[in-house]
Amino acid sequence: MTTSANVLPWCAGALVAAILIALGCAGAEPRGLAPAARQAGAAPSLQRACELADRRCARCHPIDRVLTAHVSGPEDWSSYVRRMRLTPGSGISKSEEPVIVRCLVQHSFGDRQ
Amino acid sequence: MRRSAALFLVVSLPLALAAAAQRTGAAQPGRFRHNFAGSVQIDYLMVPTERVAADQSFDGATVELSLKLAVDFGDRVSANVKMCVACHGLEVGMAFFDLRIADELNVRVGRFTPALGSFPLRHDPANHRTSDKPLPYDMGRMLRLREWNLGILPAPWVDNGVEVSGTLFGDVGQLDYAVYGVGGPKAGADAVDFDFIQSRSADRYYLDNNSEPSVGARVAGTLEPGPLILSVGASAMTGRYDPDRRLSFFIAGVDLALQIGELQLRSEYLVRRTEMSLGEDPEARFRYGPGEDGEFGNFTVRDGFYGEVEHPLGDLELIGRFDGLRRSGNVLATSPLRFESTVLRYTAALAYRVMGGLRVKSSVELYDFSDFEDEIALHLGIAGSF
Repeated sequence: MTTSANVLPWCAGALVAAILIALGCAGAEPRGLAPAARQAGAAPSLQRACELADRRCARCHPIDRVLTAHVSGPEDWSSYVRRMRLTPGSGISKSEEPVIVRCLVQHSFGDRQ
Repeated sequence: MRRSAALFLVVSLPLALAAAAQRTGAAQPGRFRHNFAGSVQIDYLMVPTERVAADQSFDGATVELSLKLAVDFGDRVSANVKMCVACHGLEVGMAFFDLRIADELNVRVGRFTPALGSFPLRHDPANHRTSDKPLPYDMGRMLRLREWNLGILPAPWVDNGVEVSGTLFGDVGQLDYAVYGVGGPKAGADAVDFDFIQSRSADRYYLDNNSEPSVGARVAGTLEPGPLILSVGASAMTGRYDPDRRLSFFIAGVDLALQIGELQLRSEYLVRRTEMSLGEDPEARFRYGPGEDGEFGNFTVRDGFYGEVEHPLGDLELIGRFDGLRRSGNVLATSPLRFESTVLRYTAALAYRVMGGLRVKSSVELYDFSDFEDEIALHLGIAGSF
């Protein structure tokens, strides 16, 4: 209803700070499973699998939740991804489930699997 | 009708769960798979436009903690238990069994968040990027929360009941549905709105207050044309919230989410019609007199929306949000609100990933109230998942 005079400096300050921070971060490396796979020189099919995993997981939560998940073996990822697939709106189809699991298993266990 | 359907479900579901567990050979302890996860958010809210803001909101530092244990009993049956600590104290946020008969049919029984809208899927502070929730789902961080009695339905709304849901996968996308019966919101016998403290108080053993479930449903479709992912959903919930089963409510909502590469756009609209008790002397109880027909209106309508956009830049995420609430209907004589009141909020936020799942969140919010002076709110917090 009434805009206090002391509201405006806060808004202007926030806007300037946001622009400066955004400019500072422009061009920063993207994060996620796919960039990690590319950096590791993974096979193109694995990179594509990780791009799909990034795309699907980021719909509901930051990709860090995946990167910091507690898994003790490859079978844990199968169970995880199945549960997520059945979360409403996940967008993960049946055929995509093993593709995403492949990326996550490779990311977590590499060649030790 | 609703009571007999609920009774049927209560009797038949445990039997179905037991039968399914038996069929999957789930009774072998060695096959159980456990997963433990949690999240913490510590947030400081400052209102620089007020000398003392404690009467407007829960300003200062607040902590939200959740600890979750998920157990898979074979392929078809799982259990989830989640404990939460937040402004409302220690609470059971989840305690349910899932029976997955097929992708298209899942039965959930216990204490859970029923499917209403899309934000509740991301309600965990480690999952959504701002420190607080959109106004329709606010749970105590909005300014003037007491005058407004929060938004449409605080998230996560946690309740006891049964939910049947499923996902149908097609060539071009997927369709999700859910139908449920839960205890529903609660309030006293002479209420004019939900009593959110009573609705989730563990002191009342999470029991239904009027022997009649509230029912609801949600349907959502997801399409993936080219590089886009588009989701559209619609939800509704209805029931009665007073102990005498006289005061009804109806909530409806639509939601839209669009993902273009790393850019996320989300918006929702929710509306709630709530019947209120006029009491023995409405003339003295309410601020506004009767309508042209000489009768006092016995309901209020409140609606709310949000639209938000977020985009990552390396470890930084930029978030913009515009949300609002509107309430129309008579108010108690003591209320500072008018017959029709609105609040609009403009939010600019940054989330910076420090390490692992740890994120610093900050935001500036401008509140534009129809009935009060405008305010600024500043959030600075840290949220992490483990």
